[in-house]
Amino acid sequence: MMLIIAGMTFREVLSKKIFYIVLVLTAMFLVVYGIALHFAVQDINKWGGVRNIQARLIFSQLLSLGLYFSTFMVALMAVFSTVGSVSGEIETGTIQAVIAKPLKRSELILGKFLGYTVMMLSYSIVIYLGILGITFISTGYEPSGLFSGLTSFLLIPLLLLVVSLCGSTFLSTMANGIMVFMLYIIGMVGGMVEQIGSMIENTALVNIGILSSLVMPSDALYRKMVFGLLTGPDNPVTAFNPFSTMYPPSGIMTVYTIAYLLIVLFAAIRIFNRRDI
Amino acid sequence: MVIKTEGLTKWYGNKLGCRDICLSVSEGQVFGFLGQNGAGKSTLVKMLVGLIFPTSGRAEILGRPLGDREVKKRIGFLPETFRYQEWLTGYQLMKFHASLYKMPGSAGRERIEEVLQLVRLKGHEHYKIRTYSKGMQQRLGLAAALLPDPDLLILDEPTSAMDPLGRKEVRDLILKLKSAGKTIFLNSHLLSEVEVVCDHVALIKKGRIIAGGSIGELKAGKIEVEMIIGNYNDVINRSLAEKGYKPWRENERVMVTVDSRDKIPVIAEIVINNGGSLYRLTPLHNSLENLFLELMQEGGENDADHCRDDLQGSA
Ligand SMILES: Nc1ncnc2c1ncn2[C@@H]1O[C@H](COP(=O)(O)OP(=O)(O)OP(=O)(O)O)[C@@H](O)[C@H]1O
Ligand SMILES: [Mg+2]
Repeated sequence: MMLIIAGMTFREVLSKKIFYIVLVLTAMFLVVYGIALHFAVQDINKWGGVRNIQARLIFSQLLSLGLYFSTFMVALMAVFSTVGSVSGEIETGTIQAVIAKPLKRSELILGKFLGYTVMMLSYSIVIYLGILGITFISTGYEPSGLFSGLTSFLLIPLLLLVVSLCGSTFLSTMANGIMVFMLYIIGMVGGMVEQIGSMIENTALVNIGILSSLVMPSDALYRKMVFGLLTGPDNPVTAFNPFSTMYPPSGIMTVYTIAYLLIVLFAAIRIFNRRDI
Repeated sequence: MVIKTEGLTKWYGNKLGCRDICLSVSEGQVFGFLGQNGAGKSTLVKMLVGLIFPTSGRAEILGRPLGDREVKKRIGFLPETFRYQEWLTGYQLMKFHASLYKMPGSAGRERIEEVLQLVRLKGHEHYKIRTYSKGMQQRLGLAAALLPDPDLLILDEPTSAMDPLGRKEVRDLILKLKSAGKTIFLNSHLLSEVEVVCDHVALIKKGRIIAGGSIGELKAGKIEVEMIIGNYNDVINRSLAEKGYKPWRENERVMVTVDSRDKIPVIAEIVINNGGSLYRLTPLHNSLENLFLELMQEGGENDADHCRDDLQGSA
């Protein structure tokens, strides 16, 4: 049953023009990033290539820039594709005939979750490998901790997807979109506040940052990923810029995120089980 | 009993959906649920199919409490909105629904052909639902509801978007299903339709059931009598009114309404004893429509706080 709903969810996405537009735009994004990198590399190679500390610093910054916007894109995709997943169907009424069928409401939610997850994970993996691949090919810059970076990167769309799916079980599509987007911004601002707090050693700021990361861990995941990728045994800690990080969140963040995710998914099922349609 | 509800009540916040609904629908009945817009018809069927949850009261369908999944396999439901995944073709939608009913592939395919034929969508099934007209979409919804060859078919205004021919086809379809022993619960505000296909009806007003029973009974309840009277005078008029028959005149015709057949000679007597020349007296069969309008106007005074036996349309 879950698989039937997942398949239908997947087909719904494939049936939309916007899906193909997004694919084309994503490809364009990767191409633009590649071209920018190419010209940067031409200049920087005059300094002695990837073995030069200065050059490595710049490459890592370019990479963090690429990753930053990739995260942003993936996050937007996750939110927009799921924002009306339940509420939209309630608003149009397409859900009515489905609920009357011999299927549990939880199967409907889990099915949708599964469908969107497969879709978002594939999309995110392509972007992640695309950005890192392009960077490696044109600069020879090899980030460390590829796999744990990928884990953090994939958790971001997953997290937003679940929050947005949960919101759509009790909010209108519009209200849900606003809520998830605000949460995402809170996470982002919180992340910056925390970094500034760490830098000037202000505990109040750090605490505010941590608190907002607990409310929405998306930015914490991003910083964890960037820190892991760009600071290894042979990579210097990057200078402060809004896209990278010097103070990574602790490893507990990943565990926290997974627990967060499961709780929100569970909440979505509970809420949907009780609601009138 | 295929459907049995006891005091089923739904409040939307502090807005009443329906209240104290007590119904019994037995096997093989075509049950008409009649009411004006906003009376609470859809509210009731939504509770029956598990879209909304009752505030209080109980209900059983096919002997099981609401929400039972085995029972849901035996129910076909056409929602009043009849909106479907419009990016699918009609055929793909049927396959989706067949899989939701857990129908195995080959049997499913055969049945899909059958129901498409039944609702006359054959030839359109490979177009996207997006391109269907409203009536075609409702036909598709009907096909989806018929898919599992359900023992109980719940139709919420099944012909609201259909042309006269479509209405007739649905009517014939319902009669055919009835003769196959299926039970049908039909929401409608189209009396003419209900009158033709249903054997039992319940009338709902402002969330409460105000009358119900078999169509025959309901029609027998009140009889309109048409008379042609010479020398019609005030005395006759007053005497009839005093006895509670409320006469009214249309040209030379005098009309009265009586509760039962027994009262017909009584009226004749009044007319003759008061000097009227009775040329003709014709009992007219009250059409359900008149009854319907009458009931709707009378208001919901007859309180339905508890189940009343006469509301139970036992076969
Ligand atoms: N989701 C809802 N929230 C609040 N009130 C509702 C809701 N749905 C229905 N109602 C109210 O419940 C009452 C019954 O509505 P219902 O849809 O059952 O009527 P209906 O008999 O099906 O009417 P129609 O013939 O127009 O379909 C109405 O007064 C309506 O305003
Ligand atoms: Mg209705």
